[in-house]
This record gives sequence, C-alpha cells and structure tokens, in this order.
Amino acid sequence: MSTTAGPVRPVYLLLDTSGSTARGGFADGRDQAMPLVVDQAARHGGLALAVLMYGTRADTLVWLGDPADIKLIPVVRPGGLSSLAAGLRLLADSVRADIARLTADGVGCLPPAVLIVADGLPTDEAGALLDARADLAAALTDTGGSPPPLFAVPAATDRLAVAGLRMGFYPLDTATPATLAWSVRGAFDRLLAGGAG
Amino acid sequence: MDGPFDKATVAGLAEALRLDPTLAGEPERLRRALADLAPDDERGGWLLALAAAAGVPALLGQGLVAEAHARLCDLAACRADAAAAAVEAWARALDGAAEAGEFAADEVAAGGGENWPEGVLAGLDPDAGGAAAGPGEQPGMPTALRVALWPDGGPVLAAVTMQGVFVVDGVQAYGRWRRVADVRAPLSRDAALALETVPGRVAWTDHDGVRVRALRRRGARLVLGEPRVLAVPPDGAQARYPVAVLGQPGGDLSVLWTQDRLHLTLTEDRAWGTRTQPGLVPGACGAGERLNGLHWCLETEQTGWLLCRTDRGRLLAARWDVPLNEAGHWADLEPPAVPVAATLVCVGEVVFAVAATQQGDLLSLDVRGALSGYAGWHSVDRPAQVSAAPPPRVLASGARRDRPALPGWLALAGPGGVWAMPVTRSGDTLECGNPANVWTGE
Repeated sequence: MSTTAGPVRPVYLLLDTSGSTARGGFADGRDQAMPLVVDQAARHGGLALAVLMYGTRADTLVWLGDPADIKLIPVVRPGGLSSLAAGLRLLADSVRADIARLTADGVGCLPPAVLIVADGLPTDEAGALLDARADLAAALTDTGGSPPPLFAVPAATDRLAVAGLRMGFYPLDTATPATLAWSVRGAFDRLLAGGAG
Repeated sequence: MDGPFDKATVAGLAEALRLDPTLAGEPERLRRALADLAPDDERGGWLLALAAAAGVPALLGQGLVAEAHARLCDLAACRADAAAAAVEAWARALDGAAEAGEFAADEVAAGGGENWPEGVLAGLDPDAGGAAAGPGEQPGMPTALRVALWPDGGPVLAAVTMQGVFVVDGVQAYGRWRRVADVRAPLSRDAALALETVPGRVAWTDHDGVRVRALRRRGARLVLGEPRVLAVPPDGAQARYPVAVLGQPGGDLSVLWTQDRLHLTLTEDRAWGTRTQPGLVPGACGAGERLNGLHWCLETEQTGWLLCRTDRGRLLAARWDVPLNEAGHWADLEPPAVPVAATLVCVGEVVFAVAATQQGDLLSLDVRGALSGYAGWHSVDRPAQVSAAPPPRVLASGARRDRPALPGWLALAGPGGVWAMPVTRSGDTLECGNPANVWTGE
C-alpha cells in the first residue's frame, strides 16, 4: 500500500457462512453482493478492504488491501455453527495486526469500520459472545475510536439482541438473492457514510 | 422424509450438544444451531427446540421418558408421533451414543436402531395416539389411593407409591399411568383428587408443602397442568399424610392437610387467590393418637362430611358446613372390627363410610343415619376375585354427588393387587359391580 496517498480507512467485512445461510438463497445473495461491495469500495477511494468469514470457526478470505487489487473472493460453502464470537475475535486480532503493519509501513490510518453480514443471531453462548465483543471494542478503541460495527441481518432479527451487542442494525431485504445482494451493498454504503444505527 | 426429522437433524442435535452442551438449556439458541447443522430441515429443528423448551432434556436426565413424551403432548400440543420422535432424538443425543452422520433415515423413522439407549425408549409408540403402548410408568403398589369421577362417571385413580405420585384415567391402566410428581419419603405423603372442579385437580403433600396440578381429558389422553404450590408449612415442618380435598364446580378447591397428623389446616384455592387457615377443624385425636386417614365429601350443596381413621383404629365422622366453612364435632362411628382402611363416598344421595377389616371384609355405614341413631354397619358383598385376593390395606372411593344415578367407584389395594369396581346403593348398603384388576407394574 502506497505511503504517499494519505491515510486509509481499513474496512472489514465479516460474513456469516454458517450452515443456515444455505436456506432461502442467503448464501447466493451474499456471494452476489461481493463484487458490488468491492467495486463500490474501489470507487470510493481511500479504503483498505478485508473480508473475513465465520462458521464454527473464523477465517480470513481476503487480507486487508486495496480493493482495486481484489480479483477473486473465494467462494465458501455454507457449513458449521454461527460463531460470531470466533469472528469477532479474529476481527480484533486482524485489526490490531493490520494497524500495526500499516503504521510500520508509514501509512496513516483512519479509524476502522466493520460491516457484519449475517442471516440471524449467532449460536454462541452469551458470555463468550460478549467477551469477544469486548475484545473487539478494545481493539477498535486502541486504533482510534471507531463507530460501532454495523450488523446487517434479515429485518425479522431481534433488534434488541443486536443492540445488546452494541452494534448498529441494518435490516436486509432477503426476498431474493438479487435483492439481498443490493441490500448488502446498501449496508456498505451506510457504513461508508458513517452511519451505524 | 417420512418421519418428523431428516437424519441430519438427529445427527445435528448430537453434534450441537457435543460442541456446546449448554444448548440443551437454551431452546432459541439451539434452534439456531440446528438451523446451521441441519439447514434443510427447518421443521425438525423447531420440534427439537420445542422439546428443549418443554423441558425434555431435563426430564430425560431424570429418567422420566414417559413424562417427557407426555409433556410434549400436554404442554406443547405435539402429536404423539412427533413427540415420540423428539424424545427419541433427545435420548440418543444426551446418551452420547450419537455421532454425526451415523444415523440411517429408516432407523429414525422406525424409532429404533442398534445404537439406541437400551430400555430408555420402552413404552413410546409413535402410533399409539398419545398413549404409550408399552408399560410406560410402572407406579408399583400404592401406599395411598384415591378415586374421583368425571362427569360421565368414568373413574380416575391417583396413587402414592414408593416411586412417586401417579394418576390414571380409567381402570385399563396398562401403559397409561401418568407421573404427577416425585415426592420425598412417599410413606409420609398422601394425594387427593377433585374432578368436580373444571379443570380437575390432583393434590399431594410433600416435604415442602401441598401442591396441585390441573387434570384434563383430551380425547383418550389425560393432560396434566404444571405443578403449583398451594400451601407451605412453617419452617421445620412438612406436609404429611393424610390430605383430603373438596372441589366445587366453580373451580374452587378446599384442601385439608396436616403437618403433625394431629391438627388439620384448611387451604382454600379460590379464583381470587389462596388462603390458609389453621385451626378451623376441631382435633379428632385423643392423647397419643394420630390421624391415619382423612376423607371428605359433599352430601348436598350446603353440607358435607369428614371421615378420619386414627392409628388406634377409630373411625370418626364430622359434619361439614359449606357456607360457614367449618366442621362440627367428631363422632365415633364405632365399627364392629378394627378397620385397616376406610373411605367415604356419597352414592345414591347417601353418604357411606366404607371400612376394610384385617380379614379383608368390607363394611359400610350410612353416616347420617348412624349419627341419627337409625342406621348400623352392614357387610358389603365382595366380588369373588376380591374375596380370593389377600386382604386390602388401602381403600378409596369416589362418586358424583351431582349425578346420583351414576354408580360410584370403590378401589382397594394390597398384596393382591389393585382392584376397582363400580358400587351402587341398595337401600342402606352398597353393592359392588364387576371388579377390574388395575395394572401397576407389580
């Protein structure tokens, strides 16, 4: 990443790839949304984009980098539980490591932004989830005070539970994979506009 | 899919519990986990989560398989086959025998397989229309017994045994006993039935108080409501035996119970709340004497009778005034032989005390007539099967005061088993109909 282009905003996309996303075309819509999101990120400029996923465990699909350089996002087959806690812990570790690396490279960083795309609430035990959320909060605070993550989920999801995770709520239109894809893109736009609620 | 589940759903439950055993106690989170692990079977996931919400995992943990099945049918309105399949799936998952992917679909549909926990599922027949086809609960020999009648005259039996408190609708009891409660020190407890109330009630005593559950008939099934505490004894005391109840059509229930087998406490369960009043009923026992049995029935809408049997073999009766909610003085009925068991029943508009002697003879007495000086004890002819059996040690009876044309029911329990038979009034004595041997698993 260039050291002359000014500060960048790391943007993290955390995707739910659990088994239930096979239902109702959610996984298809999520996959269709990825090119839309990457294109939008590239057009926006000044962003670094990373894509992470969580099922029973979490993994990194695309390491943080210039979205214009992203040519391929690996397709993940739905499977496993919905361990958002695993996702949040990976996210916290990634934020710390990425910011350290960018800083070491002389790249200025704006506060990171996080969009989580899920088909519902997680399956984690509440205590483990809240611990992971606290870990992420600490990582984000250490890196400049980010807005709360934006949690994009089907509109019927328990909004109170999302509030309990101290995340913004974005209702997804899951009528078809296509509407879901554009809805995820809408959530991404909201994130870039700085609105988490 | 022929059964309620995909094979993946049953495997998914086992896998979910392996990954996180606390899911069994969080139905909504479990449902989400099953949606992840068996995404193609939304219905099965909902059913297994419903079973978790109904407390099936905890009941299976206590070995209460039949109760788990009944709970799903009673409280969650499950069809019997779905309930049986859900209980089976939970039993397998909790047993830990299940490994993801090891189930065959036909195994699940058939409700069996070589890996099913042996004996756990006995008695659950998915095609039984709600009743377990196998033995289900096996209460064993009653230490206390009660009988009450539905408005159509059908009997319900309640029994306290060393296994707990049980009820059964009708006398064809094989596979149909329902566990009402586990109690501590069953020999110190008693139970009572009231079907005049809507819904009916079964009350029982336990170390920590008097409890009650609603009783309803749904088709051929007996449906039990959730247990409720009616009365709590003072610190250091227990609710012991005997206990008696009086039910009113409006739903009100009066319960007489004791903490010391000497003094009776009245607890009234009314629509507006529950009230407990000690000391309304005069003591029946002399010095060093204790209550062994207590029975209570209405004679008219305004009056009823209490009957108690003491550990000295005395039988005492007292009038009960319904509007004033108070008892008269106890009068000794002076049975001609020491009774080992006794009961009270209003048959054909006459209230009878019925007693069993040590030799197994049955005696009856028109209580009002006796206390007015014109009636005496009569022998009740026992059916041949009952005469041939060893003498009973427990006696119970029930009748519908509001349906005097219907026969009452008399039940006896002892080393010869449990017998139940209809009884009708013939002048100033009782006649027994054909007895049924009531299965208890003994």
